[in-house]
Amino acid sequence: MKRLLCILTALAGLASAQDKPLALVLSPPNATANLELTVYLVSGFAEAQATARDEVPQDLAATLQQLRGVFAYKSYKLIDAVTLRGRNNGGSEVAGELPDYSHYDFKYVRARISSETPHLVRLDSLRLEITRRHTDRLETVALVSTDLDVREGQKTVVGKSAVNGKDAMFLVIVPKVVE
Amino acid sequence: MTCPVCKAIEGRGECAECRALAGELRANAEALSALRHEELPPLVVSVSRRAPVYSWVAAAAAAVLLAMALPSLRQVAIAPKHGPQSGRAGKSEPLKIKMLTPDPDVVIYWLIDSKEGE
Repeated sequence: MKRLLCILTALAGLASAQDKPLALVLSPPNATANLELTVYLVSGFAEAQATARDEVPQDLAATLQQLRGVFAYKSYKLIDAVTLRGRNNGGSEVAGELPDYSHYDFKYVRARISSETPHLVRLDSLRLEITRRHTDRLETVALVSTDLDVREGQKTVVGKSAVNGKDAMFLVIVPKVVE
Repeated sequence: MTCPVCKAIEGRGECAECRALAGELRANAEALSALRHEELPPLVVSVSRRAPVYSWVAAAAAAVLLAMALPSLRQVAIAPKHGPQSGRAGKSEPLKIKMLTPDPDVVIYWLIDSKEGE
């Protein structure tokens, strides 16, 4: 009987130990690290605009060059840039108004920062919604909703078409881990 | 076994001990023959007092197996969480295409709604 109890105890210990790797992944050593996320909202226009030039900051020049190599949009324009900060394993949200009076809401439910260098940041349930208020209803102009892995030092672009007809919306996400 | 007196097979010798043993064996055989037509009493099933212990052990083993199976069940439960949490019922997760660029510092993902891909 004692032997059986020992076996059962060992099995129970084994079963509880199976949870440990998951816990380690969710709580890496740098659990106190913060994540500073800079998000650029960039529009890609299918039709030529009045100003033929792209209206994006110099920081995004290399990114824009790559976008031009992949997509055939006529011009690009920075709509807004937001910065939000959150803790490792935590979420963050920022909302506001865009120059064209539409409303944006950007958030992620949880950011998990890996301990490796450069850090890999896993953003769970990342979501950007741009809405426009009409007299009696709220219209969703653009919606980006996904899980995303971004690496520190890289600019990660998330693009989506069919925004305002044939235009596109690009999120350029730049993560920075603050230890 | 041999008889210590006459050295013959026990019960088959001519000595008094062999004869006595042969007589006992014969009497036993006759008694058993007489029981051949006796009706047996109905079988009484007795419940062992150790049975509850075994049931507790079985319950504990089942609990351990359940605990071992729980992580995989949890993973199955977590899996749908990766979908968009827009609150719009029936919307499926968009197709996400990763595009490699010559610049290693620029990674592009292109999202395609299922509606667009049709």
